[in-house]
Amino acid sequence: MKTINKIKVILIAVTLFVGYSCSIEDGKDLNGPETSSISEGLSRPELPQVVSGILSDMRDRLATQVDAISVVGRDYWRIQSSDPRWTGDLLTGVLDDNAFYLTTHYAARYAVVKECNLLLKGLENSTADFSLEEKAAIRGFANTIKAHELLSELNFLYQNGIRTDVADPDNLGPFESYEAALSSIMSLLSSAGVDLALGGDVSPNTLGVSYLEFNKALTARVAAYQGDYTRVLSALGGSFMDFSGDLNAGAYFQFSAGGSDQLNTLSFALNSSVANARIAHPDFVSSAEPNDGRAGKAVLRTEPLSIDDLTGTHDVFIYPTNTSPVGIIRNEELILLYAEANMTANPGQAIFAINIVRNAAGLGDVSSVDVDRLLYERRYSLFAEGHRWIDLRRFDRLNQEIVIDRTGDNVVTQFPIPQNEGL
Amino acid sequence: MKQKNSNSGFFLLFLLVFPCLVYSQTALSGKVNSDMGETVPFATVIQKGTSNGVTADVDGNFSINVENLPVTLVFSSLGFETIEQSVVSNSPINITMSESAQALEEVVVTGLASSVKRSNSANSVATVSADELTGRTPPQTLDGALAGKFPGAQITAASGAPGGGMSVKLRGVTSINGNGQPLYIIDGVYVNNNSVYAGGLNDVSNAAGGGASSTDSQDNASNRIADINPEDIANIEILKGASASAIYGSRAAAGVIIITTKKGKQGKTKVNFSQAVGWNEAVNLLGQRNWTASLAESIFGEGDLYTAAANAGTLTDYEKEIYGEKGFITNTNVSVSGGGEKTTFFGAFTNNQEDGIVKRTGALKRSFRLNLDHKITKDVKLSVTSNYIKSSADRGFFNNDNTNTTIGISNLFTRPWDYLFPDENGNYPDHPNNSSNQLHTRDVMTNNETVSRLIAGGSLDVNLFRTDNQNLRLMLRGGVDTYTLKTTVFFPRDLQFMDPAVGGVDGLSSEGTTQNTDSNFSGFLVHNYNTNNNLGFTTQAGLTKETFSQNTVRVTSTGLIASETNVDQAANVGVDQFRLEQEDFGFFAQEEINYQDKIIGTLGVRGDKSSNNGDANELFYYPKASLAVNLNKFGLFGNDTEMYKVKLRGAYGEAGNFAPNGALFTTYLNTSILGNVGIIVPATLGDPSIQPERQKELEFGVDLGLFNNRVNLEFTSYNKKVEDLILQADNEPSSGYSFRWANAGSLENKGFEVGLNASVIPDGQFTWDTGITYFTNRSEITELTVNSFDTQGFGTGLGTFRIEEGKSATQIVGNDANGNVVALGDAEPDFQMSFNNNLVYKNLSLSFLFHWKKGGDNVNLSRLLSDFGQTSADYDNFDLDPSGALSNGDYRIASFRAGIAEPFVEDASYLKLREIGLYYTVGEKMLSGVLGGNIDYVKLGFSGHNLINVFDYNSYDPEVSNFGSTAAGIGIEVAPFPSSKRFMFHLSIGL
Repeated sequence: MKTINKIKVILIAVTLFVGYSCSIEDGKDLNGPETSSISEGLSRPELPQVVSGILSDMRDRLATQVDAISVVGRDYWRIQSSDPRWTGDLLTGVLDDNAFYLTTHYAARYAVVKECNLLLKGLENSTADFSLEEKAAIRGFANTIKAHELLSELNFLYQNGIRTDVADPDNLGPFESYEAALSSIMSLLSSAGVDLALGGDVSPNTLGVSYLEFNKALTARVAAYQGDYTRVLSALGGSFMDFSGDLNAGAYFQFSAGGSDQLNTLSFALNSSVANARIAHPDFVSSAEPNDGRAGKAVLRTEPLSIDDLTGTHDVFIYPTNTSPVGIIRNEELILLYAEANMTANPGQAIFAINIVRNAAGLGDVSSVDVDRLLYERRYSLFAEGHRWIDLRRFDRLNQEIVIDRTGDNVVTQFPIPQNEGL
Repeated sequence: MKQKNSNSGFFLLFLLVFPCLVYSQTALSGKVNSDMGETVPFATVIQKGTSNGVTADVDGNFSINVENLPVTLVFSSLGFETIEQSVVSNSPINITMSESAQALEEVVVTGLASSVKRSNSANSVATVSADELTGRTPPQTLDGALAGKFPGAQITAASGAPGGGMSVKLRGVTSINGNGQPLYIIDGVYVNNNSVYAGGLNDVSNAAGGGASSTDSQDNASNRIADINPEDIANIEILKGASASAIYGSRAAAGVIIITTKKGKQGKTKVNFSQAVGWNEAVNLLGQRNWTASLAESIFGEGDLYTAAANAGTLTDYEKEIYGEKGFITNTNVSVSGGGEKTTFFGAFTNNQEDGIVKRTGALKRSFRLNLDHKITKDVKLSVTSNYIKSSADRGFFNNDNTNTTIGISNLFTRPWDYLFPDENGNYPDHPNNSSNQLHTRDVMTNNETVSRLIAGGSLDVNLFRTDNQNLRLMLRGGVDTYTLKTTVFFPRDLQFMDPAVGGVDGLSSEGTTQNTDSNFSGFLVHNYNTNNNLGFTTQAGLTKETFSQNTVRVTSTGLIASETNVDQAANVGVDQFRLEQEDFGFFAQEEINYQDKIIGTLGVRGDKSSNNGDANELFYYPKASLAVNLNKFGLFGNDTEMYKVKLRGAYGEAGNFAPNGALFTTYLNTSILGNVGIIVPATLGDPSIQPERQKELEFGVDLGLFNNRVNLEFTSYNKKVEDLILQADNEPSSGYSFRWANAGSLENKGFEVGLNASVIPDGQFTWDTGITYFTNRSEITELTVNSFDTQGFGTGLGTFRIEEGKSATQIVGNDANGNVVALGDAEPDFQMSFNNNLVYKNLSLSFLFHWKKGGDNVNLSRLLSDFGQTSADYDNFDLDPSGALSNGDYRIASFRAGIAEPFVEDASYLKLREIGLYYTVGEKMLSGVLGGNIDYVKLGFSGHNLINVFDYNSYDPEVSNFGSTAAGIGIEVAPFPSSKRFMFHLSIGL
């Protein structure tokens, strides 16, 4: 064959190849399932993965969330020399509506709400052979978790309110007032409670209590925030509250060092440097009753730590390792809720409950329970678990109890609505 | 390659023969050499003022007959300055021609398969020659070498870490969240310029875990154009916007950089060997706070420790300890080129090694190239280019973190009396004031990128038919760029912050492997047709196809066994994988009409579709049109139409930019809890109907050539609008997605560029060429259908880039003293200028390039961090606080506390001596006795890079970017790897 003919053959071949390749297939998502694969119909094998995802994602940004609420509540100071907004904004009260201490956990909690909503939607559209009971259980699980996540952010935004109707990203519901949002959360919990009672548990469950028990415990907490003490008591009845049981029993976030699992970043070693430390507020150390074993949650450092004109002598030391579980709601809180709910109507029961908690801390009995007593016990029992700021606020004690450390520091009552909400 | 029309051959023949017949003659003969000592083949020799002329042979020898002496001979050759030589006797004439600065500018690309004489181009196409690229000083990377060399670009080094990491922005911001970097095409091969981040670094630094408002990696991976060896490059053409790049369609909105590598020339086989050695050192160290025992006591209560350290002689300047190294540089280059009538070749090997200014950092690059050109027949030409590269970079551990573990941040928290050195057994003490001992980290951690890459292309050029006034050519091109990138990150267990007792993960090892293969094929037909009245038509049409494939797998392990680095030798193993497949198809057609080189008009259209669009088979069309008028050719200013040049030009074009891969989808991410695998929603909501961004650019210009074209002035004004901006816009986080992809805005860039080139002293023993550029750009977000949002930064309390309708696309906003969010600055410079000079005296040449960036702001957070560590050198000065009450450090901290960002937004102007080179060339004549006269030239010299840096910016270098080459948001500084200057000594030999 002459060279020129060879070339012609090559030309034709290449031209054909180029011509053949004109048509293009739609791009595919190569890196994971699309969200629509769940929302358009949940299958049985997908269920545990969605549930695990929700349980796992509930821990996302947990440390930032607990730190932020603990700093404004003066449980402890979060020291981080490379990001000193911890000892800036959160103590001065000049809050940024686009700063990490607000936006990260806000987005993380609503991401879990989204996962719950996708699960609910997928359940509606499911063609799998889920029984009525199974469907009820799944619904109950999703709504209980949703309620928990919404409550977490409502606690931050308080009177600014939150959105609770967020299923459609293009058509979000309005910001509801604090009271209305609490009601919405309560009605989620109520219907979920009915569903879980009918359907039973959903697998997997890493909380350590059944989803129904968790639902009831949470219902008691929300009812207390609403001041509905009758409901507190009825909910506690269905929960895991146990006067003679381990105060630490309850629902927990679990952690592990496994590849895609998370570590407990609320755990810092003793005597950490200014790079990253949690220093107990001196007032927590000095206000403890003598021999209160709960004061041991703050451990004396070998050297005091100073930053930004703040000096502390004690480390917060609740989680010894980075796989220690973190309590979501414990028996101790439930007993204290029981005390609170009985405080006016049935003081004897309140005293009984308070003394269970005090005795466990190595303290003697008290003979009466008032708000001060309740707040003291809650402060020390639930130290660094994100309660004090909320408790002082709901009993209107913030200005009275919060110790101001530096001139220019202030009391924070609520966090702003994140800038991205576009309000 | 000569610019002669077809009848010139006959004309030359006539010239050669005719005089011999008619006149009595004096025969003059001689040889033409270049100033590099090489022979110049086929130069044209003409007796001035006559039509008498000859062409030299392949070895540069010529012989010309003239009537009588004296005469003036004019020597010209493409790529060389034309020389006039008066001849008084008939002794042999030796002519030395110097390479012309404009030589390589004589043609510029206009289409995918055609070029046009620069004098006929309707666009301002910047060209950088091999000499400008590498002639003065060997650049660290190709993109870095472009800084200051042509108008219209903002080129920023993200950090001083060896191995590259550059951002090139042509004519302003062209995209907010899409790709803002130009498309690189080398010899027809689409070259990948990805940055692939390593696994494991963020697990330790947690840089993205705190306040960063973006998902960008802050680990500062290098970009892959750094692999390309600048020494191989013959020529770079830069299409700065859609008006010039429209024919490249939907990948061309950020501009196109077209690179041509060197080719062999027919003739003697030439061997060039060059060796450069030198060093680099930090441009600027910040120094220490003026410590005394009492200061140490008052701040830390450690006056006694200070005194003890002072007495023991162990007070240490840790900035010098970490950044004070002189990094050794060696650069070896061997090239061989030549060829015969049918086949020419160019082969080159380069070994490039550079240590960083931090111990155990450095970059190594080995590149091997072979370019072959073969004429199969008179009408069929085959070209093959191939380049194999092995590169490796050790980049240390720098930039933002939230754990005080990076070397940069740790240094800011280190006082001189902290003792961090190992004992005689190699045990490092824990840092007394920080969670990591940076000396230990520096000495044992690994952060390496290793690339093994093959870039190969081929083209077949066929003259299908040819007649007197027309021809039809077919061109087929194919290319592939394939590489394997390995990232290795290793933090041994004994590092302070790896200890489980302090919450460490007990050692971390991460291996990442990326397989990337991009390929492109295209076929074109080009038809040239000249009518009898000198109207020329160039018609072209073609098809293109590109495929892209990336697969990244990262395995990150913690809880290591012993000191093993293998990722399986660990308690916990995590894996993530990212894949990308994309397929684009396009066609184009273009018509160019040339009326006697007086009026040149072009019309063209490109159609593109891509699997990356919402509808893969929807075609997006990108039109272009341009017109150039050479007024001088009309004889309006006299009859000698070549003495000067007046060109008016205008061009319009549209080009696209794809949405980032994945923007179509809302993809679940994976997670697990206690071994239960789960799926969670991503932070960004996808948009299944997303479209490419569309850029529409209109450019006008005037080119003037004055004083016999010794002075060339080019003035260009442009307006480019980007519509359907692809935004990763803020979304209401309560929806579950903090961001969403959307086509949701428009922006506009306006600017102008002035280029002046002059041969100040053109001829003789001393020559001086100079070039000055001035350019400026302004951008505005003209439309935004989503809420204003922040791109890069750490919130309004520290200064952040914010996209806001009616404002500059690069504005920096922050809180003022009253707590209001106001614009505090803009990263866009007021203007940039460069001043380029080339002076030659006999065999000595001096060239230098100054680059001035006036204005443009950065967010500088390094100083604030060192204030937190109480170590800022200027902590105790009093020149920041307007009231004079607070020291600089206290003032910055107080501002930070109050949420005021003003002190952190700083003017990032600079004046840099980008390059300087001083060379002495020993020519062939002087070397005739050495090695039997086989040496063509020897060149010796010294060069420097960034030797002079003038700026009033309170850190290492205003040229910095914590967020790498992000499209919008360059200029945030958080404890970077400091930049360096380079000193080099050179020897090159030509055989």
